[in-house]
Formats: sequence, structure tokens, C-alpha cells
Amino acid sequence: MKIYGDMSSQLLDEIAVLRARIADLEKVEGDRQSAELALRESRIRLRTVVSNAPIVLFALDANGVFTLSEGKALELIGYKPGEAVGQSVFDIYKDVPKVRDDCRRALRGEVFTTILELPDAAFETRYTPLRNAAGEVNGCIGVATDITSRLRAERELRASEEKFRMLAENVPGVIYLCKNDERFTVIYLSEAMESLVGIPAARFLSDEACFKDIIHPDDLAKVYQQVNQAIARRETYQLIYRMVRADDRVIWVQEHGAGVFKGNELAFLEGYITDITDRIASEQALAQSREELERRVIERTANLKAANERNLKIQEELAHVLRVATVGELASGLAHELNQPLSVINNYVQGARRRIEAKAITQEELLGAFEKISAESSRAASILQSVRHYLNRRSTVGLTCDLNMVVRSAVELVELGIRDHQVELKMELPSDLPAVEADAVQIEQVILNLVRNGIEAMASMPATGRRLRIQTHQTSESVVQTTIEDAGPGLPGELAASVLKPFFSTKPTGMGMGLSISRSIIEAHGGRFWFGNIAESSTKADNASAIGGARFQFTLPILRKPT
Amino acid sequence: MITLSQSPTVKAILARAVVFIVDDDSAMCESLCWLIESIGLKAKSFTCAAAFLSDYDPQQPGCLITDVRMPGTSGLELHAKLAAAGSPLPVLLITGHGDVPMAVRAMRHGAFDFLEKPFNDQALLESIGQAIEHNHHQREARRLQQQHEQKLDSLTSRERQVLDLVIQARLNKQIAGILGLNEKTIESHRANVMKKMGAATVVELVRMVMGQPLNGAGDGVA
Repeated sequence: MKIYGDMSSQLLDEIAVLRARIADLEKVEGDRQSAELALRESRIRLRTVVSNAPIVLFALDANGVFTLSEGKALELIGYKPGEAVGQSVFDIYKDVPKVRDDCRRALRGEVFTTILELPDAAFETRYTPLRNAAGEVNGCIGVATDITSRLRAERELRASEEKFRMLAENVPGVIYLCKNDERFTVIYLSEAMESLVGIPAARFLSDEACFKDIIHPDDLAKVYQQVNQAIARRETYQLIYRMVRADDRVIWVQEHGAGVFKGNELAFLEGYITDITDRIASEQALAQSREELERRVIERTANLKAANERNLKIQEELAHVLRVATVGELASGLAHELNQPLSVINNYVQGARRRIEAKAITQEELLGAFEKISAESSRAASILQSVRHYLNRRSTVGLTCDLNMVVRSAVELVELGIRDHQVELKMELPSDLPAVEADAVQIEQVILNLVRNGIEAMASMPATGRRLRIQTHQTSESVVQTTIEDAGPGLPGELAASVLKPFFSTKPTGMGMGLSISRSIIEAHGGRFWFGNIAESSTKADNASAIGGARFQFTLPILRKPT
Repeated sequence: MITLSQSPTVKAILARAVVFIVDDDSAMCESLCWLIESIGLKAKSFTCAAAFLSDYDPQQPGCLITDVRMPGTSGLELHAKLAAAGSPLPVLLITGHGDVPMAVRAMRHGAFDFLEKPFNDQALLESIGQAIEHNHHQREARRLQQQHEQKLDSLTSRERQVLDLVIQARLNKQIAGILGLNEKTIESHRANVMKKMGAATVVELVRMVMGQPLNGAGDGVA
């Protein structure tokens, strides 16, 4: 079978070709199958990715019908993956014009990204149109990224920034962020800076100006030191320093600040600055006025103290003078009072004498004159009576008096006179002198009067011979005697002779009157008062130490001690 | 001793005078009256300045004795009042102890004298006599001055012109020349002037016109 043989080899060839084609086909099929598998796998993978990505991946056809709707972010709008497929976006979002508008834009062929804010979510959606072979738009795809939290964060940030800015602009001062470099280069500065220093904050932000330029040169080192010290200790700093304004006016500022760290690295300084010029000024004024006040108080106190001391001294002196003036003034007053009756008596006496000489008087007239004279004498006597009364009105019973102290105090009062008159004063005041029962004030008057008399008595003699001796001593168990001697010319005859006799001298010096009053005082104390010229009593034993001139002596009773 | 009674003129002066006493102390007033009357003078006392002032006649010659210190109007104030009223009454001040500087001041203001209490009666009486005489002369001078002024007023203006030239010691001829009148007319005017003025000599006339005291007052003046 040749035919058959030919035929069979031809067939065999064809079979072989077919087999090869089948093998090819099988191979292709195998490839196709593996390709499909790979595709499916990649689809699954994609879907897994998409469905877990925080996005919504969607596709629309030319009519806006969803052909694809995937992505985890679908949850945010309450859809399951694929759920929207087959529905029109215009139906689903009929209440959200923005979505409908965006989709129309995309279906018109526009590529764009937009942000959609829904009540509960926010998306940033990128629309991309799909075109057929002819280039006509036959749909679009969109990738919407969930930006809900980002937006919220952004919004919160913006809000907080706003709040911060508002705060920064409204605080009564300047808020800053700056670098801790030599210039304190500004990072942020509130606008209040302009009103503080007269330079707009913008000029700092653009680095045309910096803190270093406006800090008072004298305070700069201190600012650096305090800031760096605080940073080293990671503490806040509080500075008070001066700034020089654009108009050269110097202001005082207070700065609170702190370093802001990132890890261990200092990122910047932040803080706020307030103008405390007024406060400083008022503090300074206050301090000044307080100082002034204090100074004045001190001054015033010193003055007052001095015045007080002066007053006390004056008062003491005045009290002394008043006390001691009593004898002198009493004498003067007495002289004045007695002048009246004495003059009247003299008028009657002289008038009568002239009438008698002229033989021009009757007995009746003369008797009348005598009556008048008698009446005036009584008037004089009553004046003296009232003086005695005055002197005696104070009881001296039980009064203690240190006679030596009284002598010293009286001498102190006439010290000036003693010095002026160059009188040599000798005092013999035994320290064991017992206290006497007497009114120290009155006794001082007596002593003062006597000492003054002595000084005056010696005024006309040469200065070298002016000596005054004051002596106190106990003469018996119950008596202390005081002796005052001068080296003057002695008492005039009529005075010296009037010892122990009642008298009233009307001499201008009033010495006799003073003596009389002195005697009245001593006698009122139960003592004795006498005087004379030293020469006249030269036989007396105590004359050895006598210095010549007049001697005045008085005794006072010693205070009896209760037994 | 008082010697005022020597001259009859002075006697007459003292006889007309009244010594006024102003002292708040009535005993002092009485005793001063007693003393002053002892030499034959009239005395009148008042215990306050007001009483004296209401009673006082400025025409009455005399003098005033007053205490410096008095309640109400003091002696100094009384003196000042009298001086201000132009009274010629001499004032003697009596001062107490310590009032001397005050009295000295009063003297500077024209008080006649002051006496310190207790005063010497002789000194007081002498001072009173002097004061009265002083007062008399003052009054006399004032009276004459007034008289002269009256006489001068009685002259015609021509007579006054002649008088003025006469007291300048011009001769009648000169006066006639100056006034452009004849000498006879001047003689007639001159005679009228002398008559009207009551002057006997030109010297007298000059004294009158110059306001100087004239004769008759010189004797007996202390």
C-alpha cells in the first residue's frame, strides 16, 4: 500500500503538526491559566490592600453609575465594599451637591483633587476621567483618601494657633520665641512688640532687628548670664532689664521665659516680656518717697528729740527761774504795792508839815491827816501780811531736802553771772550732811538770792578780789547751817544794823526786801536767818576762814528719821 | 522850799491855775490834793481818765498829774489824747517801780515831767509850779499869736504890702518907688499899719509878724 504509505506518512506529519499545535495550545492554555491565576492573585492582593487602605477607590461609568467601590474608608460613610456598584452616584449623593458637582467635573474630563467634608468624615479625592479608544470620556475613577483625622488635627492646630495668636496679641506684653544665640534671633514675636519698642514685629521676624539690638547695653551681659544660667539648670528665667526704644527712650521690662528642649538639645527660648517702666517708676518714686519720708521722719524725730531735750532743759531752767524769780519778783511786786501807801503817807505828812509851817492848819485838819496816815499804814501792813501768808502757805512738814544739792543747783543757775563777774567760788559741802526738812524750791530761792546779792556786792571791786564762799555744815544734832560769804564791801550801815529787826528797804536793788523775804522763808521752815559784816563778828570762832565782806547764815532743821 | 509866791505875776498865774489829778487809787488822789493844797494851789482829782476828760475845760490853765498805770485809759493814753486834741495842758506822769523806760518814752512825746514813786514831795511841787508857768506862757503866746493874726487880718491889702516892705527895713521913699505911689501916701499907710497892729516901733512890728514873743513875758520865767 503505497498509497496508503504515502497517505499515512502525510497523515503522520499532519498529526505531528497537530500534536505540536496542541502542545502549543496546551502550553498557551497553561500560560493563560497561570496568568489568570496570577491576575486573580494580584487582584485579591490589590483588593486586600485597597480594602484595608484608609481610602475609597471608586469608578463610575459615563452615567455616573458605580462600577467599582472599594476601600476601608467606606466604613466611614456606612458602605460595604462593592455595595454601591450599580447605583448612580447622583442618587446616592443627591443631598451632597459637592459630590455631584465633582463627579460631573470628572466626567467632563477634568483631573483634579478636592476635599470633601462630610459631617463625620473628610476626604481628599483625586478624580481621574477614563477614556475609550476614541478618547471620549466613558467614566472616571476616584481615589478618596480619608483625611478626617488629619483635617481635625489641622483644624485643631489652626484653632490652637489662632487661640495662641489671640492670646499672644492680647496679653499685656510681648510673646516671643527666639534662638539662644548671641543675637537672640527671633523666631516668633507677637505684634505687641511694636508698641513696646516702636519697631514692628515683622522686622524682627525678617531678622532685620533682634533682641540684642534693643537690650540696654549696660544690661546685656546680665541678660546673657541669667538666661544661660537658667538654661543650664533647665529652669525658667525671670529678668528685669532695660530696653532702648526706637525713639531712644529707655524702658524697663520684665521677662519670663524658659528654654524649650528637644531631647537634650535646646531648641529655642520662649517667653513673654512686659513693660514695667511705670511700675519701676512708681516703685522708684515710692522708694524715693519712702526714703524721703524715712529721712524726714528721722530728721523730724531728731528735731523733735532735740526740741524735746531743749524744751526739757528750758522747762527746767524756766521752772528754776520761775522758782527763783519769785523772791526777786515778790520784792519788786511788793515794792510796787508798798509804794502806794508810802507815797500817800508821805503826801499827808508833807502836806501837814507845810500847813503847820504856814500856820494854816486846824487841829481837826491835822487829825484828819493823821487818820489818813494811820489808814495807809494799816494798808501797808496788810500787804506784808499777805506776802507772809503766801510764803507760809506751803507746809514743809516731812519734806526732804538735800541741802548740798540745792546749793549746787542754785549755783548752776548763776554760773554765768559767776563767770562774767570773774568770781572765785568756793563751796564746802560735806558729803555726810544729813537731809533737812524743807521745801527745796523755797530754799533754793533763798540761796540764789543770797548768792546774787554777793555777786552784785562785789561788782564794783577789782576782779581779782571777788570771792564767794558757800558752806553747809551740821551744827548740832538737829540743825544744819548754811553760810554764804562774799568779799565785797559789806552791808551798808542801816542794813547791817537791822539784823533781826523787822525792816523793809525800798532801795532800788530790792536787796533788803529780798533779805526780808528770805528770812520769812527760813523762819517758816522753823530755821533762823541772820546776817552781818564779817569784820563786825571777827570775835567769832569760825572767822578763821572768813574772806571779809558780808556774811549770811541760816539754819534748817534736820529731817527726823522715823524710829 | 517853794519860791513861786515871790512874783505877783506868778502868784496871779498860780491863783488861776488848777492842778488836775487822775489816779485810780482814791487814797493817792486825796493825799495829792492835800499836799498840793498845802501850798495854796487848787487841786481837782479824778479816779479815771474818762471822768477827767468829760469835766475838763480846755480854757482852764493848770497842769495834770496822772499815774502811768491805770485800768482803762492809762496815763500815757490820756497824755496822748490830750496831745492829739492840741491841748496845751502840761502832763506830769507818776510812775511805779519799773515803769521808768515807759515814762521816758512819754517824755519824748511831750510829757512835761515824770516822777517815780515814792516821789519826793518837794520835787513834785516844784515840777507842778513849773508846769503851771509853762502852761501860762504857752497860753499867753498862743493868745498873742491869735491877736497878731487878727490884727494882720484887719489890714487892707495895700497896708499889708507896705507892712511887708517895712519889715524888710525899706525906707518910705523906696517903698513908694516899688509900689509906684508917692511918699506921702506911704507915710499915711505906714501910720495906719502901726496903729492897727498896736506897735510902737518897727522892731515890735517885726516880732509880731515873725511870731516871736513880745515884751512882758520875760520876767519871772524859770
